Amino acid sequence: MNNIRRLLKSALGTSGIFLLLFFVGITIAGLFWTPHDPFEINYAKMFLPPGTPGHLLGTDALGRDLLSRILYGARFTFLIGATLAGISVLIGTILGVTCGYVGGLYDMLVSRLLDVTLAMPDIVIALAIATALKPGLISILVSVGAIGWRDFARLARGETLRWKECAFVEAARAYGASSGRIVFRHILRNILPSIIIYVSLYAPLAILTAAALSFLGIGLQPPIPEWGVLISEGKIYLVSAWWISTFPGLMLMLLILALNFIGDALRDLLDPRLRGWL
Amino acid sequence: MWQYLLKRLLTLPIIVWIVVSIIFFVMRIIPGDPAVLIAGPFATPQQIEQLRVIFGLDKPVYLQYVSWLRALLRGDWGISFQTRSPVLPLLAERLPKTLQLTGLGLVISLLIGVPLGVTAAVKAHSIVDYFSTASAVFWLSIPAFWFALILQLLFAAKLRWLPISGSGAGMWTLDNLRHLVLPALAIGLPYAAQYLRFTRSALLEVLLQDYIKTAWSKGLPHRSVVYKHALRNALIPIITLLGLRIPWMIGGAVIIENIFAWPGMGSFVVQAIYNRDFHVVEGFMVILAALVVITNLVVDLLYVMINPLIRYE
Repeated sequence: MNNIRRLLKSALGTSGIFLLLFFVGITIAGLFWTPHDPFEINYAKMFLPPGTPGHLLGTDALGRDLLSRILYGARFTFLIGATLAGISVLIGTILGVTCGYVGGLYDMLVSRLLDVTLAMPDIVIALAIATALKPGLISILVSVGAIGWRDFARLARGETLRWKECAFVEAARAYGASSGRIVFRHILRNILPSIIIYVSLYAPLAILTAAALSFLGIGLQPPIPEWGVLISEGKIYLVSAWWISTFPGLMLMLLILALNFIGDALRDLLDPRLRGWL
Repeated sequence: MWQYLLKRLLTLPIIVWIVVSIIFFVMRIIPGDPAVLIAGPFATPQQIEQLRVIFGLDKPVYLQYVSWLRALLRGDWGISFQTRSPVLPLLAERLPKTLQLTGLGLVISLLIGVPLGVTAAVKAHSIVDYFSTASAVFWLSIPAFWFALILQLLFAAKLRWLPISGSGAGMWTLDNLRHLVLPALAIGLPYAAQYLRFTRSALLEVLLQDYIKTAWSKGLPHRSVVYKHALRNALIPIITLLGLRIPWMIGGAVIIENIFAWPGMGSFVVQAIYNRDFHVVEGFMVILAALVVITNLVVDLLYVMINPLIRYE
């Protein structure tokens, strides 16, 4: 509770949290209600500009209401971001902690795999995997998930190595504590703050990469109004109907901004030494 | 030093080999039959089988791997399923344009990011500092592909200052450079924000050191303290970041090239991905892996040039 109060005290954190709450609000609203049917095609209403009565953000090439599509699509962005963060943290932390704790050949193999794949740009690895899969939600989760775990694994491994030599871990071992107890009670609990910082900084990256895949046409597919898909739908009409790409992109940017604000504030709060480095 | 360099040069192909192998197996093990795609919707099963034999897809995966690796060394990088022509020349003729684009993007990001970062650090907690660090967060939050579209919309469609997409003939013609400006900005500006933040942090840390206080108290001019004593020592982490980000910029170029129809490797590879043109994607990975490894080597050598204390023995 105390930490949340301190987070609210920083201007950055506060504005980030309020922005995020706004997005959570419209996502929940979008689950139950949109001004129009986001999938309803109406050729009488093609390319209505923003501000047209009844269509606040205008309509797209098929006469679908853009605001409704953005509201409906928000759920995918959240779903993808949250799932990816969850998968990456889970896989990365398990691998990292076990590597650090067990060591030996297992540690060496995983570490080498990390070194080699970390050299490749994220988007390229995601592209290669997405190539091999059928486009859709699963392909996004697998291909972006395949890059996310590495940072967590490296972090968890390093931290585990640091903590496992600490006096209190030695003491616990001397008292006869099992490995499981040492890992869960003593090591994981100390790693948690760093992991939280990484999650808050990783989630926006995962959302952006997923949106980029959808934008390129190898993620979620039209007519699903995921924001990356919406931006790509407006691409061809950029000159004649600028709003179709602009508004979804603006929303995406504001969401990422909110998450980055929160991430920065969390980092200052939990580990000020990292300021500027992450 | 020379021994270290030799060792690095020898491990270079090994790393490329590992990366390339991972990519090969990932692309083969996951389902999806390219022969079906090449043959098109009206092909008979016999025709599909024929194509599989021609492209060697009927053999077991490990045999495909061995023959693929052998051919790779000979410079035979397979046939593109789409164009039915060898992959290596297809990629090689597009490589210079990709390098030109990322090169200019890199120059833009450094020319904007590093000086602003220096200013922000020297005038820490001033208005300049707050403004530039706050705007850096904005730049880091912008989806690069959307930013590219906005650039097209503003500077090409509305203001008509620059061409909206495509490229000019040749590499260094005025026409080609005019086409280059917008995509290079789209790649460079988001990275400028990263360099800004990083330069600021690195420099702030150095500025607190005792030898900087000594330099100030000796009465050395401002420029000499900041650029000669401080920035030089702050360069190591900056160059580390640079080494990590150059491959990322080349990766990001895949998307940007696609949006601006810039005829580099990236736009070609995305097309190959749509059509499951495995050999082209693999070839692209090989080139990229080589570029990554070479970048790392150059960065390591730069360390030695900047900091004489580092000697690789």
